[in-house]
Amino acid sequence: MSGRRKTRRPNSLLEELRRRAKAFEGEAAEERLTDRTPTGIKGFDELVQGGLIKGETYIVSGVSGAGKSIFSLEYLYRGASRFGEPGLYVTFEETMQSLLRNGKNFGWDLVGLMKEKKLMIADFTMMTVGEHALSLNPESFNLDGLYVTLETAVSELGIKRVVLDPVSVLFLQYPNIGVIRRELNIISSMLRRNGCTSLFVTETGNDPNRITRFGVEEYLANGVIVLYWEAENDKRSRYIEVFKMRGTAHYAGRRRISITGDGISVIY
Amino acid sequence: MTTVVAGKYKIVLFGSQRTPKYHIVLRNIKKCLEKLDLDLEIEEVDLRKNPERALRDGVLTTPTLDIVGLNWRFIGVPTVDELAEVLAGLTKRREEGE
Repeated sequence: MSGRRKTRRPNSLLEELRRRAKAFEGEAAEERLTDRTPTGIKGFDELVQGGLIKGETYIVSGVSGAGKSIFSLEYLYRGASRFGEPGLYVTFEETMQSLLRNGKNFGWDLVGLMKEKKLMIADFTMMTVGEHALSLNPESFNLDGLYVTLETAVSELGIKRVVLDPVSVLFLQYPNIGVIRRELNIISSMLRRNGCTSLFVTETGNDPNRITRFGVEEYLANGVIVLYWEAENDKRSRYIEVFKMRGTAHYAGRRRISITGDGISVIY
Repeated sequence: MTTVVAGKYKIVLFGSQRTPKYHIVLRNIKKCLEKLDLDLEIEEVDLRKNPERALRDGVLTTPTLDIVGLNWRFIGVPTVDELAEVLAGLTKRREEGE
């Protein structure tokens, strides 16, 4: 005789599955599934069916100088100024002053957007420059400080676009890849629940077969955008590649980009 | 005799009072102060209630424990002995008349 108990309501699981599927029926639900967040970056949205899928998280990776931070900052700037979507830039490496200076060079009025509460910069660089003598127990911490900052900004300021730049610093600063990956997954889920479309920035590793530094960042995201900064003869050129993008028919391969006086342009 | 440490030194504990780890750290701090016979102010900051403190104090992780004045930060759950190793410096400074 089997030791397994007989389920009292054999159809209850089926009922629950049907109930969940119902949430995706109807026109409005269908629209939600395909709703896009245009980046506003010249030529990029055409590569990805009009934009990123609303509410998903994407990795932006590349070597130093490839334009990751400019891409991410422009995503927030265009979102706030053109599409009316407030954005939050969480920086772990570049100071707020440096980001504002970069924006000014492109003629973006970031300070004006901050005054209008359409843009917020959370500068956590003081945490990562070693101001304190540090004792770390790598087994017993979480990223709640970051989580509450994001959750508060999302609920109180109606943030719809988020950038974390770079998440690779977290993997370096807190040497427990498993914990950081778990915590970033929790953060990504919270952002998704709140309808935020997010970019997690990271570096490309030295291994040419890896598209991210630690080889785990891509598993946090719905898609991966890789930026390149390559030497060709006596000069360097920039390229962009949509490496992976779930639910999106995207251009496969690299496209050349240029950084001009008012931001990034994908060249066709 | 209890060493009363006032002024520029204090302990700040950041976390969520709903989590067990927060209370373990708090318990370890109290045990450590008792062991060293130190009277030191403890400020408890529940980041769920005061989220602005995460940004102001540069706290990404919890539990985080700052020893203000010694410029020392513990991330995670420190043991009583680990805390005592750092806080013993305060007793020494007091004895030297700082």
